[in-house]
This record gives sequence, structure tokens and C-alpha cells, in this order.
Amino acid sequence: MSAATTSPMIEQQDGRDPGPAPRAWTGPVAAGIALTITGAAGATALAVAYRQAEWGQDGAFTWFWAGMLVFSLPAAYWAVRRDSSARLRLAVLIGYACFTYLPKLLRNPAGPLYHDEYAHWGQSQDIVLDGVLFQQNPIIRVIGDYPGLHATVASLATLTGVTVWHAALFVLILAHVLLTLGVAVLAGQLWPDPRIAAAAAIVYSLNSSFLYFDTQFGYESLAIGVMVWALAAALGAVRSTGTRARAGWSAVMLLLTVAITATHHLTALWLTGMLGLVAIACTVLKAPARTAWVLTALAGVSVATWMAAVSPRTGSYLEPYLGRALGQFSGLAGGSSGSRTLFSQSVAPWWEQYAAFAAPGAALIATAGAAVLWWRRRSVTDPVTRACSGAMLLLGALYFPATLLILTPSGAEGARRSWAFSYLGIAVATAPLIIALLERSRRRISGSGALLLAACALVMVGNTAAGMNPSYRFPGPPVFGADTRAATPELLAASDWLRETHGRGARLVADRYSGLIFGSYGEQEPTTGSESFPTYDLYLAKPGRPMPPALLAQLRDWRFEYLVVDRRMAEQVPEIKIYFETNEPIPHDGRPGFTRAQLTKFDTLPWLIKVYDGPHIAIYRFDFDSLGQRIRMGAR
Amino acid sequence: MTYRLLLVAYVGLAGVLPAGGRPWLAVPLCLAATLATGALWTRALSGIAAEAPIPAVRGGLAAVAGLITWPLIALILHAAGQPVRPIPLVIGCAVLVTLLGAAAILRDRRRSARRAAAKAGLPTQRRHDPGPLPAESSPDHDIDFPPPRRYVRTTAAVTIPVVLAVSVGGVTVRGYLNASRPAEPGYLSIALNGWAAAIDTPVTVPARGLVVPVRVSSAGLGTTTLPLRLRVGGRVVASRPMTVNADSVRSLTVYVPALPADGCLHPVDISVGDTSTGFYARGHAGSDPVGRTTAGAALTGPGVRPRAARAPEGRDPGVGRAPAKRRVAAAAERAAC
Repeated sequence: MSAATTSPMIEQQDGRDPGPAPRAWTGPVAAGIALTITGAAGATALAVAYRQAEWGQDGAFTWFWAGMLVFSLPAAYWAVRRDSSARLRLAVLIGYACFTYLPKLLRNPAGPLYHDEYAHWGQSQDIVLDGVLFQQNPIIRVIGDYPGLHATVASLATLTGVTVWHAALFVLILAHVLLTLGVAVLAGQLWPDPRIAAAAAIVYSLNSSFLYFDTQFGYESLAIGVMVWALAAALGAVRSTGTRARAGWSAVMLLLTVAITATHHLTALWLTGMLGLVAIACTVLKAPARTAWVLTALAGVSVATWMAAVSPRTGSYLEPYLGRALGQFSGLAGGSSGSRTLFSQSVAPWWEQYAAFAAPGAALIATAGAAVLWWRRRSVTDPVTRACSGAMLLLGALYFPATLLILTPSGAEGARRSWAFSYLGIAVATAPLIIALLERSRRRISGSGALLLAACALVMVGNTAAGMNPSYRFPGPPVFGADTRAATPELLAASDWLRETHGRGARLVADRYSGLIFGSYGEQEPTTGSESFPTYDLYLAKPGRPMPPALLAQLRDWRFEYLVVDRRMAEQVPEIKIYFETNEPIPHDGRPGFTRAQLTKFDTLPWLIKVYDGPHIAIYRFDFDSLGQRIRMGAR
Repeated sequence: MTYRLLLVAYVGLAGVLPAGGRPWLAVPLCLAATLATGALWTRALSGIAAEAPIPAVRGGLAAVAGLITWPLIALILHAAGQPVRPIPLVIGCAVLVTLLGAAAILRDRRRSARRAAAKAGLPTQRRHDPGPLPAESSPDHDIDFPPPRRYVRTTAAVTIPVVLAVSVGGVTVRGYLNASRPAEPGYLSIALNGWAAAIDTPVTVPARGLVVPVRVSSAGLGTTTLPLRLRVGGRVVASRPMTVNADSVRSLTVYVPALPADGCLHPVDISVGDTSTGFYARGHAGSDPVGRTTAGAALTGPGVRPRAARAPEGRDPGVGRAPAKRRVAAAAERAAC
């Protein structure tokens, strides 16, 4: 262990644990056998859970959690066990990270499935086809400005000849493993105790984004893994006593920050904020703060430069998630309506829902305990550790106000997305408390150990339930209005037909779910509407009434070619209660938002040519030159 | 060590291009080059500490740095106006590897020189540690590389769980993918085909009528017989039963008879069962009032829209060429529809 990272708080030694040297192999062998067996059992249970869900049978949730916990709990035990060696902990954490990727891998092993995955997959595919970065993305407009993930995947795909999806899987699994190890390394920068490091990694893995959101083909999945390493490098720089070491860690941090900035806006902002917290804590707690401030400034300049020069629209993209959410939250506080009902019409079992409510409570108790421990040890801890762990406590404390935002329609998404970052603070801050509790008992499996494992299970179940809809987590029959079940054979065939007969890159108007397929597999450029370009008004117009002329002029000027109509909008309510976009002016009162006449009126408009039709999906071609023409019914 | 990393990186990069199209060869070469480049990053950047509590710092940093090397090279290529293609990527990475290698070698030499100077400055018998200076022994410490045996054990600690995870995960995924699945909902679709798929403006039907190609697809449904109907102006003008085989794609043509030369737009609708496709058409007068696309032109190249009939950028070629009088007459006719 290097002196620069040692702390007087806990004595630890050169990456090796004390323990009986003879028979040192028995622990790793026992762990290997136990975790291989439980891993195989867990993987089988996960596959059974997904098959149950696919066939619409009961028990999918039970099988799923049985599969997850049968491996996760023994892995957590081996990772924080007193007698485990440093390398055994490393091996267990790698195995744990690989296993926790399995739920997402089994969910869609062959191609994109989640809403954002379609966008990122299409973006990477475009780079492979055209070799050009910064292309506009039709599904999520801002992602073209952040090409880090797409360039990585496209580079590996084009160099090796594997498909974009397989290159992405490799990058994502590697990023997931690096994220898990990175949390351990980050905790190790504060407390050079391998048990604390392993405990931090395990606690972090309980956050709501760990199993599904940050494993999807999305820019955050790569960026957050790099961010944890950048933060670890920053703490290494802050701790370093020598100029060379400080410069080295700072250079690593800067390199990683540049990569994060080019990959994901939110992660880059969070990194800057976290560095700022460290700098503030160092200043307030009278630890050397100059390096922390310099690193914060460097990160801030990097992010600000990118957002100003490359992606000025990032602000307008992110603003609704926070600004509108705060407005709605203040409205709620003032007693106005408009709140969300949690787990409304959810198919999640009652125990998952209860666990979702209990998980923040457990996190609160743990964070409060960690704060008490931090306070009691403040005089025996070195100033940098005291300040940095204080910053982590503050970061973890941000988790709790964010849980309140989940009650607002606009804030729910932003709240969920923040938890992956604030949980980093909870994980690093509470890890010493966990080890301190375990240290109280000298028995191999103590009561407090069993209680902690049970708490881990509770928090993992609850956070996962709170973080992702069941339709994202489990397969099932095609459902209208669910991103993950949008790819029906009919829709895929329609998008294939359009690409084969009309080529790539046509601008078209579509609903959210058709847009996903046409914008990815179909390689077209769909728009699903917005406040400034309300294409949904085409669908909302009453039969026989004129269309909004300004909208038609916009469509004509911007060379839109096709209109896609999914007639299920007149028959069913979308499962996620969105037809086009989150702020659409369409009532969601449990009844379909459209009448059949609203959607079949296009058959009688002379400026729309119906070039394709299926049971639900129709494709019309715009002929704006025929606007205003009248048709004659009853030939001859 | 730096030379070995350079060798691995160069061999990997040199082998990737010829291995193109053979992923079983290109993937390990590319991974080796990526990891070696990442390791060179950690060597070139000074002051990275030895192993932390979890012995993953150097390996993890090398993996992270290797991974982000590709987007950084892609960004530089973009700034230089080069496409993200295999040859520019390999050249860019080779240049980066050379620069990193040079920096690492320079650092190694400086470190050796400092250690030699430190040894020379203090008699060996008076030093507490007669071996190499430990890392962090001075404020300006450098990397302390562990002995090879620890590399082997750490490599085993990384490799064994990865192999086990790939084995268990691979078997599970394969089993899951090969399992039977519920049948997906079937569909029957109809689409304009051939030249008709490119119709983007009203069609003028010639006096001899018009043959319209359509495509009928069926998937996930049984063989069925449905009425194939042609409607003009909402009235059924032709109908016959059509058998659609299961999981088939069928191309057929539908004859549209001549339309009255009244200058009006007539909706032409071709349906199989409840699904329908269609377009708008006019009857052919001796002289085309507005010079719209004619079926005669369309029929000259089945399956391909005649160039002469294609309107540039969506605009009708006839519009603007017709004399003003004829356009007024056409407008008057339309007003009468």
C-alpha cells in the first residue's frame, strides 16, 4: 500500500489481509465452488422467471428474486468476509458484476429493446455506415452531441467485424464490471481496508439503476463507470503528498473527465458537482483543498466548453426534468393536484411495492448511522479522509430530497436518474459502518451479518422495483404503449418495407412506439412531436375539420415525407400513458385518446397517399401539392 | 515492460486490419491492442500508485483508459475531417501508442537515473533498505510495479471469474434463446409495389386503363381466402376472391380502368380483406390539363418509376409549365368536383 493512500484510521497492509498463510487456498476454492453453483442456480432461476413472464404465468417475480438473491447474498458474504484475501474479494466482485449484468442480458440478448437503446443503437449503426460523428438522432435529439459511447462501439464493431449490438454488449459488460470495481477503488482511496471497499461496491449495487438502467445500451452506462474511476483519481490527487503523484492522478482524472464530457452530459455535470462537494468539504474541514478546487475548475471548464461549443441545446433538453419538476413539486406543496400515484396499476407484487417504500427508509437509517460514525471518528481520522468522507455523506444525503420528486410527473424520471449518482455517496459513506457492525461480532456468521444481508436483499428488491417498470424488467406479449414491447412483427415489417422501397433517412411523423422502430430498424428520421412542433395535432384534428396550416407549412418546409398511423391509439390506452411525448395535450383518463374516425380520416385526404396498410399500422405519403384539392366520390 | 506493451499494441493493431471480417481473430487482437494502449496510458501518466485494497487499480485503470482511447481517437479523426473507419482508427491509435510509449520510456529512464543517483549518494551499508527505493519513499514517487508472481495471481483472480461467468451466462442465454416462445401476433399487409410505391402525386389514368402493382404479405396467419377489391370513388368496381398463403409475400397487379376525364381527383382504393392501399387519380383527357404524371409513362418501366415522371424534390414537373389558361381551366374543373 502506498503511503499516499494510507489512513491512520485503519491499519492495513500492502493489499494483503492478515490470516493464516497455510491453507490459504481453501477459502478461494470454497468460494469458487459455492459461487459457481449458486451462480448457475441463480442464472437458471432468472431464465425460468423470464419464461414464466413470457408465457403469462404467475411466479415470475418470485423466481427472479430467488435467482438474484441465491447468488448475490453469498457473493456479498464472501466479499466482506474477514478471512477473504484481497484477490478473492477482487474475483468475487468481478463475478458479482458479471452476474448482475445477467438480468439485462437475458432480457434482450439479440438487439435493442429499451427506448434509449433504439436511439443509441441507431446512432452507432449510423457511424458504422457513414463513418461520421455528431449526426442528428431522430429519437433522442441530444445524443448526437455526445458521441463517446457510439464512437467506442462503432470503432470496435468496424475494427473487428462484429455487429454493433455485440460490440455494445462487450463495452457495456466491461463498463458494468469497471463500475463495480471502481466503487471499491474509490472507497479504497478513503479507507484502505479491503472489506470496506468491497462493502461499498456491494451497497452501491443496490441502487435502482444498477440492474437495468445502467446496463442498457445508453451513454450513462459507459459514462458512470468512467466517472467513478475519475472520482477515484481525483481523490488520489487530493490525497497525494508529492507533486509528481498529484500531477499523475490529476492527469488521469482530466483524461477521464474529457471522455465523460464527450459521452454523457448528466454524468459530466454530476462529476463536476461531486468534485465541488469534495473541494467545499476540504475547505470547511480544513483539509488541503487547493487540488480539489483546481480539479473542480478543470472539470467545470471541460463541461462548460463542450456544452457551449458543441451542444448548446443540452440545457433545454435537461431543463424540463428539473425545472418543471420543481414547479410541480411546489404546486404539490401548495395543495394543487397533479401528483403521481406510485405503483398505480402496477403488476408488481405487493411485497415488491412495500420493499420500494421501505428501501429509502433503510438508506436513511444507514446514512444517519454513517454520519454518527463519521462524527465519532472525526478526531482520529486524517483531515483528507474526514473531508472526503464528509463530502460523500453530503452526496448521499441528496438521495432523500430526490425521492420526493418521484411524486411529480415531470420529476419522476429525473429523480430516478439521480439515484445512481447519489447512491455512490451512500455506498462509500455507509461501508465503514457496515464493517464496524460486523466487527462487533467475532463469529463467522453473526446476527448483525444476517441482518445486514437481509437489509441488502430488501433494499435491492425495493430499489429495483422503484427504478424500473415491470414491462422493462420482464418479457411478455406485445402490449400497446410499452417501449419494450413495441417491436411487433407488423411494425417491424412496415419499417422494413419502407426502408427497402424508399431507402434510409426519410423524415416521417409517428407516435412514440412506431417512431422507435422506424427510427432504429427502419433507419428513418421520425418525429414524435413537441410543444414547438406539435405533430400530434395531425392526429387530434377532428374529421372534416381543417388541419393547422402552420403545422402543415412546417412539415412541408422541413420536407417531411411520411405519416405513420397506429390505429391502436383509438382502441387501447398506452401502458406507460404516453402516445407521443411526456407533455402531450392528450387526456389520460383511462380511455383511448383518439376516436377511430380521427385516425381513419387520413384515408380521405387527397394530400395523403396510403402506400402501406396492415391490421394496425398505415403509412401515408405526404403530397402537399394536393392540399386543398377536392375529391370526387362515386366514380362514373 | 513498456517495450512489451508497445509490441503487443503494435502487433494487435497491425493484425486487426488483415483480420477484418474474421471476428474470432480480430476480436482478441483488438482487445490486446486496447488493453496495451490503456496500460501505456497508466505508464505514461506519472504517479499512479501501486495496488490499493482491491488489487484492481492498475488493471482497472488500464481497461478504462483503453476503452476511452477509441472515442478520443474518433473525435480527433472527426476534427481532422477523417471518417471513423478501420484504417484511420488504426493509424490514429498507432500514433497515440507511439507517443505514449515514448513518454513512458522517457519516464522509466528518468526514474532509473534518479534511483541510481540516490544509490550513489548514500553508501549501501548506511541505507536501511539496500534494494530498490520503495514507491512513495519520496514526495516525487513513481509507480511501484509489483513482482511478476503477484501479476500472475491477480490475473488469475480476474480471469477465473470471467471464464466462469461467461460459461454460466453463455449456457443460460443460449438455453433461453433456444426455448420455445409464444406465437407472436400475425398480420396481413398490403402495399403499393414497383413503380406505384413511388407515387407521390395524383396519377393520370390513360384511356386504356392502368396496371398497378401491389404486394400482399402474410405472416403468422393461416392460409385464408379474402376478397380482393378495387374501389374508385368509394364504389367497388372489381372484386374477386384471393387466396393468401401462410407466411407468404405475393406480388400482383390490379387493373384500374379509365376514369372520366372530368379533371376531378378520384380516390383509387385496393383492398384485401380489411387492409387497403391506394392513391388519387384523374381521368385522361386528350390534353392533360396540368401535365401530371401519366400512367402511360408509368407503365414504361414496371417496378421503376420513369425518371421523366419523377418530380424533383417533391414538386410536380408539370406545375409551372402549363399555360395560365389551362391552369385556370383545371382549377375551374376542380372546383366543380
